[in-house]
Amino acid sequence: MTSTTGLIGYCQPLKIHGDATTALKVSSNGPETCSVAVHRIVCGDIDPDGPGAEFEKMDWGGASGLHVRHQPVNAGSFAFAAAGPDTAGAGTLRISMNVWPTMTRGKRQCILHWGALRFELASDGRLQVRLGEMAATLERPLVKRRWFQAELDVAADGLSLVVAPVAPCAVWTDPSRAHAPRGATALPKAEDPIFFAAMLDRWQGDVPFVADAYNGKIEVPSIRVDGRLLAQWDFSREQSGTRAFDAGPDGCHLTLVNTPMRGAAGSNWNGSVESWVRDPSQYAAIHFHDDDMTDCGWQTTLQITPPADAQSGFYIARMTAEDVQSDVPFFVSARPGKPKADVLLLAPTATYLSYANTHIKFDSHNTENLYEAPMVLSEDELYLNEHRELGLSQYDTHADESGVVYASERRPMLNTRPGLYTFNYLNDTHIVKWLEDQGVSHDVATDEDLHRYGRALLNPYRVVMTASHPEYFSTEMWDALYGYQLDGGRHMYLGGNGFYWRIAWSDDHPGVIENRRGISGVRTWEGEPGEHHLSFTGEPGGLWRTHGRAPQVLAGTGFSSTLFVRSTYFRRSEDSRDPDLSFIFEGLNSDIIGDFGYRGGGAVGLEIDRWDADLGSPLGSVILATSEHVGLGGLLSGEEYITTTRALDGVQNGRVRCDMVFFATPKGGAVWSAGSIAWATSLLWNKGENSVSRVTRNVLRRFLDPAPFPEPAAGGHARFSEPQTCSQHDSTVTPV
Amino acid sequence: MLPYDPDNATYEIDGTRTDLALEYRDQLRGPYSLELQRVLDKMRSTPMKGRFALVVVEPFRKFALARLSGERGVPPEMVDGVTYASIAEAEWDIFKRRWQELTGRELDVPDP
Repeated sequence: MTSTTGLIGYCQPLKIHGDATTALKVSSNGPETCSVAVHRIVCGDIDPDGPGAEFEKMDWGGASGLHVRHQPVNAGSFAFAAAGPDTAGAGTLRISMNVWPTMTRGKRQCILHWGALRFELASDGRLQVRLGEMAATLERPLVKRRWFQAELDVAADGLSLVVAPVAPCAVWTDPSRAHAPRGATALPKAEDPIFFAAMLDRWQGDVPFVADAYNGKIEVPSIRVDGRLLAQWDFSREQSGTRAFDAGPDGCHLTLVNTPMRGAAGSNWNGSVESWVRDPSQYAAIHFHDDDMTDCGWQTTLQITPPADAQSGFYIARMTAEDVQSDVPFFVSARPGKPKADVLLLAPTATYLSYANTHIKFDSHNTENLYEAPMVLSEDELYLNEHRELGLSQYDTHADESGVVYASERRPMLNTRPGLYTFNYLNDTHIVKWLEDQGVSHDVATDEDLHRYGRALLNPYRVVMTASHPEYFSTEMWDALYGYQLDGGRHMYLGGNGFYWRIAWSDDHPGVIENRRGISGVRTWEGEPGEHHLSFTGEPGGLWRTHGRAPQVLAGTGFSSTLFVRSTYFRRSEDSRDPDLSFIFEGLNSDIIGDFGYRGGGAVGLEIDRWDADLGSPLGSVILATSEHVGLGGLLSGEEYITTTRALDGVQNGRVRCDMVFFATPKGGAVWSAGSIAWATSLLWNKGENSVSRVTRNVLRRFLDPAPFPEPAAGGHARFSEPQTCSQHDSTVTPV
Repeated sequence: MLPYDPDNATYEIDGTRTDLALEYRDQLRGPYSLELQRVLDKMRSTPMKGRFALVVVEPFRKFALARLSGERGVPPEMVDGVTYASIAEAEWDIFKRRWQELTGRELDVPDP
């Protein structure tokens, strides 16, 4: 069988405009040479019972006889300075810090490595300080997820370590001490590099590779020599940045590698504030993980430069060698302000990043329940399970069970390419193929483009399409799309569970998104108390709904339920008989829409949305069609109910449903929302001759017609209530 | 933090209710009766360590039975010699195996 993991790689950056260059970085697990060919994906779904995979080979970007080798990954987040503080002439040394360990068994973890000095958590959870051959070890192991204050001294009479719980806990109430006589080993010198949260293993050029990475928080580390302050790192500062600030006299700032979690609650966090912006002093900690990884940092194997006139779209660099075929995704994005078509398809790359390399089939107890079928494990997934160094998804927890908040494109993303993982990326290529089959000229841009260019990206297009699962939206993305709609734009939302989580991008962290799962919504982990604010921006994270911008405000419909076991269909509503809406249903000979499809056999499935005026579905919005027979497989999302009852499934609960919605917006614009992920994967059924395709085509044809839609009349249809006011920007803050 | 509880599934499957097994066999993807749903929920909530899963041998054509290790990074253990030509065939076989493990009774109903 052809291997999909004999070669792995990533393109940096993930998206480019025509005439720019992306660097293909390849690591080999066997082959010494490979060939690369660039393909544009028309449909990436390789299922022989699917709509038919279709790739268009490019005459640019490829190469053969490329030499490839294994490239290591430096996993684990840490902080370092190539040269630590200068201890010249010092006789004694005192290092203080607070630690909150999140893994206290099973492996050695290095908290501080500086010259011959190591401060470690032994595999049995006991703290130990070592200088050369001498070691002082506490008798008692630390307690997981409790704050401890540690003070280690190197003096003439030896090494000593004093550790006390910051708040008395059941196991410890008083300080614990350890002492060892001092050997001949000297104190760290000025030229010794200093590492927090990992041990230096080797230098590869000027890149440090580390071992024994630590899981847990570190707070207010400081160093004194002969009673004089040498360094005092203040992690409460520059929370959005990439370094740890030293408030000491020499300014020995540390570089943070692999994006440890900032905005972490410190030992003095008392619940009086929820945000690091409000009181940074309660957030002077950094949470490190031994499986943080946001940049593989691999050498470039091949530069790929599309021609300036390359069609925007989903692309892969297909690497082949003997018995190996492995694809690497990249995107060619439409240039802002230079449209080549009237339609823009937004590729939800934030969704792709968030799901990239998910391990939930192996790690998450409820996954089989969620998907309602035994887990099917592909070569890619088995590889990812064994190669955690490729980084986690935002659906995963770290090895210490804390949630993953950062996801990066600078690594192989083995479930974001043609293969057996169909969710999101491959499903979206059904839309691409449908557009091509329908002869609809279109541009493609990514979430990152929307974030970066905002309205300037959207304005030239008559129609903007969002895809099967545009789940992750930054404030900038949200504002741009909403503003476009209010300014006469036309938006077709071909998916479900859209506009759900608030995320952030950051110029300081290129290719990385941040998401805080918070305490509500369908989520595979729960955030820690006080840690729901985004470190990149200071904004509150979590569901957009909790910030006054439920998906209904933007799309007229918003997430209600998961529906993975089997999909169902829509039935047209009576309100849809309005003659003004007849254009949507032209050519249909049945009120049933979408009782077929490639995911679960229907167009209503996977994740579904519903209309709700109280949540912001606009005045004048119309439920065009509603699902039927959702059944026991439909499960209401947590934010959709208040008190727990047994009536939370699609048999008993009316909120477990899917509404297809249309509404006109000011200045002649309009929004049409399918509200179901499985809509996109029903478009190509019967070679595109079907009711889902027909409705989509009807809407698109009318949306492309510049004739303005009549603005919604006050009062509107009987089912409408007053629109909710969207609270613009009231919850955002200026980052410190 | 709210970690998963591997022992949260407390429903006891009645090994004499072979009618529920037949219901599943004839309608793998539902719709299910409430009683069958509870049986499936229990089966799908067994601890990760030792949980049955399928490993793709040939995409879309051949699947092998395995048990998850329940440990990060540790590959699943293959169940010797058990392969399937379709997901449906595999799901039915896994159901039968789980029935036996959870009720102590071999599920004595004809295959589809």
